Amino acid sequence: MKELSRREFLKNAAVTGAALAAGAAIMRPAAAETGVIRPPGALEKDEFLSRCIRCARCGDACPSQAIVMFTAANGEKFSLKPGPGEDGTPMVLPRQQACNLCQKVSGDYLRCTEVCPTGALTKLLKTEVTTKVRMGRAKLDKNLCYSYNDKTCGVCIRACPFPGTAMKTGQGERPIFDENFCVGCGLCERSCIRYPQAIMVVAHV
Amino acid sequence: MKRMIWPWRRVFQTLVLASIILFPFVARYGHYMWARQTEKMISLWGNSTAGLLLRGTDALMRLGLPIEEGGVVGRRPRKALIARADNFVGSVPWSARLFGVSLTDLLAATESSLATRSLLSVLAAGAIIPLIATVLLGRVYCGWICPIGLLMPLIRRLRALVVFLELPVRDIRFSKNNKYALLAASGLIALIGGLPLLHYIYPPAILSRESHSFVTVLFDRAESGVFTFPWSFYSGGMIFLGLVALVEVAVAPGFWCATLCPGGALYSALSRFRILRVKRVKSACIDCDICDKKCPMQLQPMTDKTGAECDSCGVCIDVCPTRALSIRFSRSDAALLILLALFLAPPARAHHIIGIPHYAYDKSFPQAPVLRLRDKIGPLEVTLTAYPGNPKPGEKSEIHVYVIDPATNSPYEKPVMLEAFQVKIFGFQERIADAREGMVDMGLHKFQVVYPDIANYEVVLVLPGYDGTSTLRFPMVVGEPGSPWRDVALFGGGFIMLVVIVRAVKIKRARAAARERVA
Repeated sequence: MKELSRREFLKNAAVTGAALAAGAAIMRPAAAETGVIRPPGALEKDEFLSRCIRCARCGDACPSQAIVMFTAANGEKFSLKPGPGEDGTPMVLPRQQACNLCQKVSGDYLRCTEVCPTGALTKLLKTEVTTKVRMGRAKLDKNLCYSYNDKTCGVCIRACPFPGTAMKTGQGERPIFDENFCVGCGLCERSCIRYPQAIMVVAHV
Repeated sequence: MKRMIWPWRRVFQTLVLASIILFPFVARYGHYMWARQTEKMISLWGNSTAGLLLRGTDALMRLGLPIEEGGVVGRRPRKALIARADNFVGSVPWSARLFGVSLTDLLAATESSLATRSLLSVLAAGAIIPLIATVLLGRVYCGWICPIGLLMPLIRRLRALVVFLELPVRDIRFSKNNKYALLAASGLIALIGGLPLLHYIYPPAILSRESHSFVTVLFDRAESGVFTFPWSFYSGGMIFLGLVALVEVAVAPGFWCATLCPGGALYSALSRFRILRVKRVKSACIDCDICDKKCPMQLQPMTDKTGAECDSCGVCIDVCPTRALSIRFSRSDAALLILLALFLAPPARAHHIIGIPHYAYDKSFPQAPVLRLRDKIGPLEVTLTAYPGNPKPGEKSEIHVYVIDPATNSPYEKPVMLEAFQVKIFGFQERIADAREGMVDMGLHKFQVVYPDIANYEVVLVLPGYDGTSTLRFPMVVGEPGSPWRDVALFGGGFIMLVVIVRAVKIKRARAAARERVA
């Protein structure tokens, strides 16, 4: 092997560094503004993107197939494009498949948080769901909701895993949300029979 | 009879490659088992690509299990199958959970901990076995596990074709220090910017991601009734791998693993004190130089210059004509026993698969349109929902448009019109539905569109009363047409290949004729 001169080594290092810095400038996680819903137990946005190694373990482990990897192909049905540095990270698309919070699955932990190798999803007990899971919050559009337009519906109330706290029943099966208790699982959005859905889960900002 | 090493190595690498391909299928099979949908999917999908693959996975998973549950013959043993599928989670070899044991690539662990400036115990637990293996055995990951070690030599055989076509090939050898520079630079970026970058260019990570992406796209489409082969699953990572392959074939064979791979750099750096090394019997060595030429890591076993970068692949040992080279544990075999004990330790399984299954949502349930496109026009927010999400040609499909002014939170009152175009190549469009008003119902504008063919369409919303006349364009895919540009690329690529081959044959004939004249 030809011995490498110091000058050449430094040159190589400089070129590599410049290339990677350019890459970093293009894909800063801080610039990611997509605001998709992450699986339960996910860290804050930037820290999550830093810690996640895009191994798809959570998606494989999720028994209800709710966690999908954020690729262009998976996002386009919902006008979602992976932002800088977001490609391959896990997300939940409640309209397609909502998170069941592992309610009827065996085991003590939420399965995605249990298999996460890096701690990007904090390991959560199933009993901690009401206090520690905040994937997003449900937002209701009263113009669209059947129950708020004199047509009794109430599908979402039957879908909500925390009826009485996260979602109370109003007159004529009107859903009344309480942000303090809503975990953002998306089961109400998944069940809504109106298209476009009167309920949409938006990520916490 | 000389005992060769390469067959064992190839078996190992093939196993890893097979698990890269199979793990996503197993996971998806597990999902269908959870949702009690396996039987339905198998019967529904028949002999399509997805159906055959699901049936293959099913046969593989049921190996050794009788088709019987709860005394019902013919019903799949659901709990046992789910428990089986649960043993294979994640991306081999990037980060996976095998039989309850977490195994994470050291590069992934390094990147993640640098980017967050912390090391969590869960990450350390997954990286401990690879770390011990690397410290003791050296770069065995590169030689025996990484699928690139299997794929690249295969791809490099194309070099013979390039040479046959008399196209120029080169054999450049870059500095082996480049990979350390790359690793250091990206480590620094991760540390400063909090940005893990290397998984975008690390081939094992790319391969397992693409494998997952393939399975997702294939089965998601099958679930919505599209059974063609999903050509569109690849992402930028695959293009990067293609570029690496191109350079390997035409310019610098073996450059990636030996001189540029950041994972290789990390493993080399960690295996400074390895106990597994290539040994040379000096009296038997005849200085023939064969091993130096064959070494895939571009090292010199003939002069004992193997060191930390050796990936223990055993090529030099196999090619040595005098059996002067062998691979030996230099310290003691006790370390190996400890390692074996670690590998064979009973997997710590946290839970059993018991209990009641969750309520299975059926994706084909008609109340679940999965196309929701959103856009903005001035201050107005427009949401377009299509049912079905991927319409079928010739059938009536519904489009519901919801326009709202977020400031006043009231639906848009004035008329909304919709027209539809088929998108053809070079940006040409053919109108398939004239602009018309839809049915207004509770703030919604409802339209019905019939798409004539499998193609890409564009649905255009016209708001005549708003700010002059404003339009919004939404893409709509009917069936699975693929991009029209693919046909152009295929045609162009085929034409170039034809020209190249014709040229090659001409040159060959001219040279043969010249040789004959000389003779």
